[in-house]
Amino acid sequence: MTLFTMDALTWALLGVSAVSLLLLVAMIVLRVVRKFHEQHLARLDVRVRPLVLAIAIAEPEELPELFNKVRELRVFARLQTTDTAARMLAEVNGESRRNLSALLTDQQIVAQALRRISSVDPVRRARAAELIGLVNPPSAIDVLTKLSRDRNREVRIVAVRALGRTTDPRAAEPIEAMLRRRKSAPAWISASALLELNAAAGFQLDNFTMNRNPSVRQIANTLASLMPSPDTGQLLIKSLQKDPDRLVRVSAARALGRLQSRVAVAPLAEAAVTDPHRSVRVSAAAALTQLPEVWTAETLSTLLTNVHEVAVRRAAMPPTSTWPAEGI
Amino acid sequence: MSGNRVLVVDDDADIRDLVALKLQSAGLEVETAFDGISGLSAATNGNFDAIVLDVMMPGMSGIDVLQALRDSGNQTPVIMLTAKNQEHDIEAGFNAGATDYVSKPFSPRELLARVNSLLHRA
Repeated sequence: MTLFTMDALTWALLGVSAVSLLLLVAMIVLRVVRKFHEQHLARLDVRVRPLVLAIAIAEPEELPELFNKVRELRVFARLQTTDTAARMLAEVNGESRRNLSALLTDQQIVAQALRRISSVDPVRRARAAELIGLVNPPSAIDVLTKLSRDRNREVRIVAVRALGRTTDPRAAEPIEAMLRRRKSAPAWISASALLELNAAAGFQLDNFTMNRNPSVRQIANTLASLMPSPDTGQLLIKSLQKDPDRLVRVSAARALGRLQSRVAVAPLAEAAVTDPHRSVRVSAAAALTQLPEVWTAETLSTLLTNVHEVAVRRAAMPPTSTWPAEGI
Repeated sequence: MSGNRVLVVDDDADIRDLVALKLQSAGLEVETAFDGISGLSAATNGNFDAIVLDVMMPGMSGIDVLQALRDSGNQTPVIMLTAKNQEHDIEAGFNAGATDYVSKPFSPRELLARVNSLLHRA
């Protein structure tokens, strides 16, 4: 019995040692293979980068010959060429963006990305969305709008960002729809996508003033001041005066300061005195100091004279270089 | 414009090589530096007609490089490469003595036009 136990113990120890040794060998082999692969990719990158750079700055008539050179490359070098081109695409505009996009289209990378939007793997769908946003093929807006409603949150976020990168005004509507929906993507992602899009028509704040989510109304106020349309001033004033959420009213005050509109002076002055919440009163006073002095000198002087709340008085003070005389 | 020397400072090899190639294709003589410290050293020791300087670099930023150059009396025209919508970077760049700026993502053709414009003015 003891002999059997000893024997079993020995075999068990030998088994564990063998497995450990195998694992160690496997780890070493994996590391060597990975290092070899990285070195191989780095060598390939060095080889193909000059060709990708040449394509990026080429004149249209030079492209066919350069594309032929890519086609003549062996498969791994060709894949590295498209990887390098996709990486560069995010950093460039103008002719370089057009040329690199044309290379990716020529190499069927865009067609492949369009197929991958239906992949079961969310990583593949997200990568496809990223590439489609950069290349902006004719179907980009439809495809990315569909992906912005993907079941996976990461894919939705990438799709919204990609919509912003297309710089196509048609992308504004699906991004604004994302901004309105609570669970689709974080509101700031949609907001920055809209900013990247730089919609020529301006941000339509009236689509958001009734939104039930205060953080969406807050971001909408900020966006409206960065991309104003003709009615932005009045809508921000309404938000400052009527919104039940104090943080939304704070964002409206700050946005009015940024907007540089004369109609904001009286509502800001009123909010600095009468708003029930201190943070709104302070933000309204601070916003007044951002407006041109010729519009606000009298209002600020009145505030400094009549208001006793220290925080509001401090916020209404002009910059230190132009401090008023003692006693005001 | 041939014979003019331009220094390109950027930690991103893709951008650095792309800008260098575009400027070289227009007949300019180009040197490159891969970070702020080597960029400052090259700008101080070399005799350049213009510098293309990235703002966001590890260690010494483009703004720091520009400030150090201007503090030492170097008045070489500098074009800053900034990320899109980074108004603070643009403002800080002009305060430090930048001559012009280009936002990323950028068009190499537009950048070349701006460099040429600076060289014509100089």
